[in-house]
Amino acid sequence: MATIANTAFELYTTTHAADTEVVVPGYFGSYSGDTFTGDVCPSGFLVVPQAKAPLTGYEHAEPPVTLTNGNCWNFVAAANGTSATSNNTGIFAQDYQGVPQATIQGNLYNIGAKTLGLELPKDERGDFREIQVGKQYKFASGNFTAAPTAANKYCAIANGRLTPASSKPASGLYFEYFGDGERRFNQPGSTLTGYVVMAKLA
Amino acid sequence: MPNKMRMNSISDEMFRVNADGDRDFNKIVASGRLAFAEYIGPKLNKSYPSRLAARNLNYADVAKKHMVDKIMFCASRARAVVGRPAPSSLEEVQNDQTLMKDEIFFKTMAAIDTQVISPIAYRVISDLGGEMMDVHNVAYGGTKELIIPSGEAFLWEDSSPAGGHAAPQNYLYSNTVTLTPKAYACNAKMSWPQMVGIDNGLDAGMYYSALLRGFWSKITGLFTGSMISAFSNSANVPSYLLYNAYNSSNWANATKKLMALLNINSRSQLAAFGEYNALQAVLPSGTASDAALTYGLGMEWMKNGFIGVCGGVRLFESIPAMVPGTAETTGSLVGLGDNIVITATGGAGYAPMQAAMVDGQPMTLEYGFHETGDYSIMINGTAWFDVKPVFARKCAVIQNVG
Repeated sequence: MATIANTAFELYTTTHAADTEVVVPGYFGSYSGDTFTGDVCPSGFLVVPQAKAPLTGYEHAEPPVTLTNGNCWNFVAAANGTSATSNNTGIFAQDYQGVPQATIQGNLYNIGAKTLGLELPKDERGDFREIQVGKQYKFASGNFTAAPTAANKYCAIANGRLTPASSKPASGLYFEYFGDGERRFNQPGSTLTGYVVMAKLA
Repeated sequence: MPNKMRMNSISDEMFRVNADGDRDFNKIVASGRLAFAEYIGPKLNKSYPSRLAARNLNYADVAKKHMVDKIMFCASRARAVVGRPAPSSLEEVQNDQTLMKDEIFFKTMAAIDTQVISPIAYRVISDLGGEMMDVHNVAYGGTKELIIPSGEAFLWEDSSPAGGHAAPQNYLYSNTVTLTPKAYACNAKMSWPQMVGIDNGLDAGMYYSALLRGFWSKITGLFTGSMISAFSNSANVPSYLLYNAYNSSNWANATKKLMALLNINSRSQLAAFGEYNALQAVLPSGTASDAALTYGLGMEWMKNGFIGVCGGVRLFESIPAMVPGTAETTGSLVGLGDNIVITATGGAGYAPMQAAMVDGQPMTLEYGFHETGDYSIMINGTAWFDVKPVFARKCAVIQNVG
């Protein structure tokens, strides 16, 4: 996935109870057969876990062992929301909580302390938050393929982003927009805006 | 250049009671560091200078006293918050079921353990890499930027009396390598009897070592794995320094070329690192007089496991780490495997591998009971580490040994 401008993600309402908030580490990319190829992942991009990521550091163990992480995943773009059938949807949003990273002349740098809308670099581990039914989330305008409106308030997942429509999808996870308008993110010097939506099951 | 942090060269300052802050807390931290260093130091370096032995103190006594003091201190703090008197004995703490559900108790213990482990962790990791790895400190969220100077030499061309300025230009290009520590985490559970020493004999060194050992395995794997992968890249190890079998001829070529490259004039400035199986195989091989040359080496080989010096180059054993979860099955190890790495001891340039840990607390610990749901105790450890092959100071590699 190439960089997408104006992407950001916020958990808008939460109970703050640890066992209801699921944030797991992982990489983002795509699969060709069994081969995973890493890619950058925009903030708030919706993904699904495809396989557990290999456990680093033990590749040269002797006798060889095949070790995968217990709960660190290789994520791919969520094509749609149909896989979700319960409160724990199995669909995650990129919610990287580290510091901004950038590759300059081939070297990866941690730069600055910006905390909103951080893109996850290719092949780096980041945080992915599981979308849960009934909770509200704020996505920036870049996370939508078109702005939601009172008429087009049902936002279905289409290749990691949200596509507003006038009717709910037939099944699975979608996000409902309640028409409370375009909202600024509280970041100085930024004109980034977004929309608050609630996760629901069709 | 980074400072080398070695178990052998730990400053006594680290074991002194810090004058700032809570004196009781600081005393317990200092005694914990001492017990931990005494436990782990001799495992890393045979020549570790024991501070306890020098003062006629017994490790077991010191370790147990530290654990008892720590548990009593945590209990006192937890009880003080609600107005209860401090406990009078360890047994009273062990039987106090309110403490096993007390956040202050666990918070205090995690604070002490983090303070005990942090400075030692730096040194354990640093010792692990030996001359093959430098360890840097990086601020949280920061980047360690290394400027790697060129190791090349200028080419002198044939010239004429007035044509000297016509010689082609030479350049020494530097390169940049960045280290951005990545998070590693571990969750564990412990029961109350384990935590307060009802069934573990209160061995402080063993307790702290268990916390660190898994991380040690991970770091060993990351460091050696990255290094072994780097061998196949000729930018790191050029083909003239990479040999796919051990024999005396390859050993001679590897060390000779490395000395010329590094501009050093004594073989004693080189050191060879390998696992025991590999070092065992370093004996005269392929010479005209193998049997005769080997004859006198038998006693040293048997006593030490391998010969201490080959061709003037000192041999050092690199200890592999067990892969967690395989102790009862395959017994898999991570380490240098069947590779022997020959490198210069100190000297110019960065070590072949460069690593970074987050400054202050390389490993943070959090204890709690809410998360487990069954009143067992959750232990969460988080650490930050990054390692990269740099090979600014080149090394020779002999593969498939032993």
